[in-house]
Parts: sequence; structure tokens; C-alpha cells
Amino acid sequence: MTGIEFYVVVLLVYLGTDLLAAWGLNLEYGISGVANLAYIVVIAAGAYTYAILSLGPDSGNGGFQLYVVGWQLPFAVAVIAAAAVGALVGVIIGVTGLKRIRQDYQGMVMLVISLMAVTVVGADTGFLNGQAGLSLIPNPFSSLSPAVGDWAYVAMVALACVIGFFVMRRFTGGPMGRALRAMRDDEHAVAAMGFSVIRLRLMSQAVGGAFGGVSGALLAAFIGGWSPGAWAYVETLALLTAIIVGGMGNDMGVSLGTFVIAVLLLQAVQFLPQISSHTGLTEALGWIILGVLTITFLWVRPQGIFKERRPFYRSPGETERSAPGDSATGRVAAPRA
Amino acid sequence: MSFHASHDEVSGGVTSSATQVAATNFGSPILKVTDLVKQYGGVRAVDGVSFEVQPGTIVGIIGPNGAGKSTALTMISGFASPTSGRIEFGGQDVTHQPMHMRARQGLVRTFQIARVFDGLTAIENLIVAVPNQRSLTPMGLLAGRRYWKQEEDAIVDRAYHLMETFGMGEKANERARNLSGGQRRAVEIMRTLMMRPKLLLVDEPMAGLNPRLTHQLEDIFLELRAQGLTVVLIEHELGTVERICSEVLVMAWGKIIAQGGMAELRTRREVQDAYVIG
Repeated sequence: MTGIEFYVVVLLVYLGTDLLAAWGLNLEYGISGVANLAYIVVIAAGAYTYAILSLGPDSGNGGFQLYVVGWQLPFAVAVIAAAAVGALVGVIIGVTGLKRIRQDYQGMVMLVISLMAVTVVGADTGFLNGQAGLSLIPNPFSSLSPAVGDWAYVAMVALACVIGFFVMRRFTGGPMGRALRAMRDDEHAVAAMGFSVIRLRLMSQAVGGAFGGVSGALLAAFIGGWSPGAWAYVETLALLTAIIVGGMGNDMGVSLGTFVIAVLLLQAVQFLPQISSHTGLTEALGWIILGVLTITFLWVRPQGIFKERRPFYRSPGETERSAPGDSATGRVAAPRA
Repeated sequence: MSFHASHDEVSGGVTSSATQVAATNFGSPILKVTDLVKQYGGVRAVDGVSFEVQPGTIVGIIGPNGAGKSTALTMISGFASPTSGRIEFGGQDVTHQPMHMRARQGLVRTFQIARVFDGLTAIENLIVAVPNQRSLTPMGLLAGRRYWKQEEDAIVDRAYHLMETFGMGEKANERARNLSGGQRRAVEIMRTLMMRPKLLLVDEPMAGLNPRLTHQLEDIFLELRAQGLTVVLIEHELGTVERICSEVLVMAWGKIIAQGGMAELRTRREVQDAYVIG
């Protein structure tokens, strides 16, 4: 495998895992209105879960790293467990935001959770090997040649994205998406209609958390390592920027935003020449551009590149006149921007 | 706009059993409020309010600003908890039930300032309100559209009929954020009707409506009452109260100071004083 081919593989795996995470966060923030600035925690929970369920006992490899559990489960089982733990952590984070506080305060609470989580995990070496993190996390295709194994991994991530997209559409589109968007717009009014806001919110954060968990697991298995440096709070802000730029509440817009931000932008800055007098400036430039983009879009085009789609319902008379093909989405004709 | 459509179109189909209850059931109130108190620090916004509402009636609550009308309604709906007192709905104690549980039992409210879902279209605002939709169950999520399409189509039909009855059929696919104040108010009321409530609590529904719309809404409330819907209405427009309410409560300083028919209340000295002094 050539260097450029490997680079493409890395980009595609990053894109796929970022897409899963961005869809999950979009469900929570863009659709349900929960400002989950601790979203990276569920990704980390998925990554660590996969690691400790697939690495085997920590006495292996000379016992150079310490961690809990230490099972050696099949890849699929470990990924499903990562999704479950992501969902559980999502719900636990969600509980902290249930107190009826404004969305900006809710975001602040979750940001603090994110900072606390990374500090706690980094401080305890016996739990998940502290700041050094976990390495030698198994790749399911490691027995294949690198050329085949890497592309097989890309195919598997692509499959996860296709499945993930259709699963996510059940929640973001159709009646469930409608109920969640109603909650986003006015949680008191939605409670006055008989909906349990607590249930809706926690469901949204469980599903979003499961997506984050799978994303983390697939990323950790590909990279082969995971440490607190990989899940700083700014990673959530990168996903948030992708959602704001692409179009909150619009699955296609979020996908485009993820491609532009997570792949094009953050990779492009790495090709800028290093300035010897300011080491680290190039890397920081990526985050600076992200911040500027977020502020610019919130000012100039808060709906993002693609607006949230508006379903168009035909009146009973129109339905009788409509062609059979129009009934593909029930009484809903093509969405309008 | 015409309001000569069938009652079922107006209400979204309030059940006939509700009508029977309305016709026969006097002495068994649908709502019973006993000694309701709401205290904020040293201020008693609602101070020992007690009243009963019979099924199939429209009860008006009037009074000067700050009388405690909206606070009382807020507690009855479950939006806020009372400091003390008891609220019974349909014979059940609902004092400590959250708002969404009361709404599921048919105790539904609108807000003083119309609250619509701005990001949804007008018709989506109505569709989303229908309770117990198959599409929102775990099975509905798993099985997909085939499982709930028929029900969804019927809900869309109902919503369209209701919007046309309110003269808003053409606005069905407009985003709610683009609607005028009166249209938002109408959407909020239609949304509650989609829920087929047993008791509707409405807070100043005529606020911001022009006289033509006000009269149209009065007609709608009267038609709903004829079908058995019970309405508790806070309203400053006394002409409206006189035209549609069978019973009127006057609140001032957190208490009910008088009750009866509007024509009689207009002549009562304490009511006049409350409006002048209160």
C-alpha cells in the first residue's frame, strides 16, 4: 500500500466515524435541542469499552498498561457493547441536564462534565491507564495483509454508516423527528400536549450516545490506541461546527458539514508550512478557523448551508388527484426547503 | 371562513360519550379545585381558591391584572405546583401529577402568549399533538411507515379539515414562525383540539385577535360546548365572556370575590371595586 493510498484510507475512516458521531450529536442538538457539549465523552466511552473488551487481560504484553475488565470478546460483540455503554453514558449525561435550566446553562453544565471526565480518567492509572491511555487495541482485520485489511476496514465503516443513516432517519425524519423538533422549539408546550420531556430527551441522548459509542469503537480499533489526548472538549466543538455549517436538523447538510470540516478543513491546515518561530501555530489555526466559521454562520446564516427540510402535506382533495408515486411518504410530498 | 361545518370537523371529533356526560352529569364536576394556594415569598398570588366546573360548560375567569387568574390556571394544568390545596380532575386527585400526565387524561391548556412550534409547519403543529400515535411507539420505529401510514393519513385529513374550518387551509404548509399573531393563536387552539381534550383551559384566547376572528372563535367555543367539551377561559374581553360563558368567576387579590352570570356580576359593587381599585 502506497503512502497516498494509506492516507486516503485514514481519511475515509475518519470521515465515516465522524459522520456517525455528527449524526448522533445532530439528533441531540439539532433535532432535540439538547446542547450536549459533553458529546465527546460518549465517543470516548465507546472507544474505551471496545478496548477493554477486546484487549484481553492487562497482564498481557508484559503488563505495561493497566485497565479494568480485560476481556477478549469478538469484534461485533465489543462494538455492540460500546454502543450500549455510549447510550448509558449519554443517558447519565442527559440526567444532569434534566433540571429545567436554559439551554446555554445546560451547555455549560455538560462542558464541565466533559472536562471532569477527561481529568478523572487521566488521573487514575489503574482504571484506563491514565494519561498514557491504551494501546495495541485489536483491529479485526489485522490477520489480513495491510492493503486488504485497511480497505476491508473502510468497507466495514461504510457499511456502519449506511446502516447508521437509515436507523437515524427513523429518529430525525417522520413523526419521531417531528415530536423531537417540537420539544426543541418549546418543551413546555410539548409537555402540555402529553409528551414526557424527560423520556424524549433521554431517548434522544441514548440514541445519540449509541452512535457516539460505535464511532469511538470503530476509531479506536482502527487507530489501535486511545488516550485522554484524543477526547478533549474541543472535539465536540468540531462536530458542532460541522452541524452548524452543514445545517442543523438536516441529515444531508450535517453530512456535508462533516466532510468539509472534519476532512477538508482539518486536513488542509496540516499542509500549511510550519513556522519555526511559532511551533503549533498550524495546528491551532485549524481550531481558529473552526471558531470563526461557527461565529460567521451563527451570524450570517444560522440555518447552515442546507436549511432544515419542511415536509409538504397535501390536502385531502389534492391526494385524490396525486399520482400513485407521490404516496411514497404517505401524505407527504417532496420536502421543501 | 365558515363555521357551519359539522361539529366533528370543528372539534376534531370530540366523542359522543362526552356529550352524554355533559347532558346528564350535574353534581359530578369534571374539575374540582379546593383551597388552592400559591405563595411566592411573602406574596400569596392565589389565596385559597375553591370552585367546581361541571362537564359541558364554559366557565369564565375574569379579574384585574395581578388577580391570580393565570397562576391558578397554571397550577390546574400542572405547569406549576400549588403551595397547598387540592385539584381533582374527573374525580381523581391530580394535584401532584406532572403536566404531561394531566394532558394525557384530557386536561389540556393553552398559554397566555401563544406557544407554537416555530420550526414546524402549521399543520405539523396540529399533527404532532395527536396522542398515542403508532408512529411514536417502539414498534412504529422498528416497523417503519407501513405500520403507521394509514393512521398518519387519517390524522393529516383531520388536521386539514380543522385548518379549513379555521380558514387557514392555505397556511397549512407554512412554517409557524411566519404566521401572524392571530394565526399563531388559532394554531395553538387547533392543536389542543387535535388532542380531543375533555377540559380545555384557555388563557386569554382573544388577545391580539381582530373583532371578526374573536366572534369566529366565540362560535367555535359554543359549538365545542354543544359537543360536550368543557372550557375554563380567562378573558379580559367581557363581551366575549358574557356571550359564551354560563358561569363566571371574578378573581381579585388572589381570591374569588364573586361568581355568577356576567349580567348579574356587572351590577355587583365588589366586582366594580375590584376593577377600579385592583
